Amino acid sequence: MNLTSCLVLSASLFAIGTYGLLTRRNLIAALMSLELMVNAALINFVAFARFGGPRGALPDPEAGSLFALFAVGVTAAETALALAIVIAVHRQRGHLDIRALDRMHG
Amino acid sequence: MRDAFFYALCAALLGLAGVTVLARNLFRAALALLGVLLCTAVLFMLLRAEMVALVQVMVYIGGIMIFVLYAVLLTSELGGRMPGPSPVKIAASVFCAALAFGVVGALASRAGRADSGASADGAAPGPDNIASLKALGLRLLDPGPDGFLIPFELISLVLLAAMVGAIAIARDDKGRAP
Repeated sequence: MNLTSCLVLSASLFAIGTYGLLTRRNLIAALMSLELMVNAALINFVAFARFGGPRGALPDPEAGSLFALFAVGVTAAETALALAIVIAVHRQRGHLDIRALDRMHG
Repeated sequence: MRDAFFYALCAALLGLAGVTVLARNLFRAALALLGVLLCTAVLFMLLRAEMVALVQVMVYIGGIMIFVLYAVLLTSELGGRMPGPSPVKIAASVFCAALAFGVVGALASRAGRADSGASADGAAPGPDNIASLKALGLRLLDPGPDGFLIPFELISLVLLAAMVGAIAIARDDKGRAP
């Protein structure tokens, strides 16, 4: 377990999230893929806090944990808004198909 | 022993993430995402970030996932299977995912090369490398150059605004709360 293996894990998770975000047609499923990508970023924060950055930068466990905590807070706000939009769209349209949601398309 | 556990955890994490993006049943995908978040919390414990692991369990699993499950239950038929993507779309998405992995991996390999040797098993794994709850709290409320007082105050405003906004958006046209 070192910095590189953590970074490879988070890059793989990010790639899986990207794949899901591009292939999913359901709005909630796309949102869940987005959660995967945010999770990959969180793993990066914590890994750098534990092992230190490049060029011998010293690890700063408090700052890394706090960055991760702020990211969790922002994600919570984002998810609350996104699910409110999901419910509003479902009430108006009766479906959640991303391809059919083109009312704002110019 | 710890390495074996770490790699088993990585395998579980990536497998569950695969189920999350591939499952045809939305409810099953949500449960797999729950497993991913739980595995990530265990990984944070392994990386000595206990506070982040606890917040991950409380906020993500206790809050966001329940929220997502409610949204799934409210908006979709449970046994329903989503239509699969077309082969062209799968190919394009695999290409984009590989591109994302390449970019992130290139950046990571630079960071990993720079740290090689110095911290093969973590930089000085000692009691001073753990973020204690007290140090975390003091750092959070420290107005100095190393402190996080302003983000701490701002995030409360962001959360309040998001909460009010979510209620305003999810409210129906007649003004009743959802």
